[in-house]
Amino acid sequence: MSEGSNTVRLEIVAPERSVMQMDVQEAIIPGVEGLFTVMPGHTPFFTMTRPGAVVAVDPKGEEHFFAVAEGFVEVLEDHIVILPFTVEHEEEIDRDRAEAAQSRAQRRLRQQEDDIDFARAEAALERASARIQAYSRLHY
Amino acid sequence: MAGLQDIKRRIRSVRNTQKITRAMKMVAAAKLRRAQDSLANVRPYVTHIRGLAERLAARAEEPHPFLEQPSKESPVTLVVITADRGLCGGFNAILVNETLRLLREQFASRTVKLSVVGRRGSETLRRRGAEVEAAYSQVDEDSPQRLGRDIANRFMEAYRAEETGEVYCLYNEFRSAITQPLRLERLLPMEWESDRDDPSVDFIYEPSAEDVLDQLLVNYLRVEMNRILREAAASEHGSRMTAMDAATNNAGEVIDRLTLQYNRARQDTITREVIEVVSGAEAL
Repeated sequence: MSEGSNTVRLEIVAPERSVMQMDVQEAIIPGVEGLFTVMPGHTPFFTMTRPGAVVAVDPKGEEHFFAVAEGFVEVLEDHIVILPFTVEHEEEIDRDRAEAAQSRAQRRLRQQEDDIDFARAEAALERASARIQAYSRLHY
Repeated sequence: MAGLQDIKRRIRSVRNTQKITRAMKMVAAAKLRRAQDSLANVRPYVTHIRGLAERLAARAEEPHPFLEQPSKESPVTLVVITADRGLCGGFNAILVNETLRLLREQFASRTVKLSVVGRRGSETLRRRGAEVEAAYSQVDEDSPQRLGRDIANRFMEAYRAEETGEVYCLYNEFRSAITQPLRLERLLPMEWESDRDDPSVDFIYEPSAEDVLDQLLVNYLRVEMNRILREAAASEHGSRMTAMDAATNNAGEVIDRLTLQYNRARQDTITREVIEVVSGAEAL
């Protein structure tokens, strides 16, 4: 990478869909240990993502949102690769479906019945919240 | 010489068969297109995950159990991907024969735990005396994720519990509708290219390098299994399409031949009738 370049290439690859690529000045990514921001020249870094919204700021300063599920992130000096199990661009998010899923998961967790799979309900809740979060960042 | 009516009936019957094979060919072509699309989407993801895992493994301080040298005495798990349905040319037969050959030759000295996806394969293998430990049906070919994940979880568990020392998968790699070479891939322990001179960059890992590598390898195997199932599904549809195309053409040839025969027979009858009429007239 040339010194002083002020963008970094962001690639989001998930199964079931085509690769998304863009140059960004900055990307905010939900890592398992918390949100982190990557700017050009970041230290090489490897972590996993939790469900949440990825915010990508393009060279013109415009923000793009993606709802991602659990996955992996590799940050290299000039390159970020995110490999989530699912990804949706802000425009593709079905708000009603996400909200329905969210309240369903919340209801399940509240009922606390023995036969429910807590981990699964919790994961579903996280994914639904991530979608709503990414969606409302755009339409607040 | 078959009677006119008989020939006519046969033509009709072959024509009906041809209609069926033509319809099956179209269905297979449509399914093939869908399978190809989903395969094209899953391949880059697998390549990326694998690339990450390889780079990470090269930098790992402690070797992960999935990357150790295989033990040659322990039981082998062989996963064979066949189809639920037939009428797809030699697709299933080739897989079954290759499986039996592997059991006879390459794995002759070892205990083999055989897992078979696809009813055709498991039924035929059982009939031909192979011991099938686990049989899966393709169930819902549109969502191979769950099946891939189940199979991968199963063999990873067995591998971690040291019930099996190596895991192989036999499947067709999809190149095109007519070429789907058989591949025998070792899934565990993984076969990485040995020497990669990765500059040892100072990497930060969260939570820890071991955790991340473990997660990455587990997920790699799940998506790899998913990819394999998709490769096999695309190959099956391609194979069926080619087979049904050939069957439709053959039916066309049979119809041509029968039509010729029918016309000749009809001509013969007419000629005979004319002769009868003429000789009858002469006799008067």
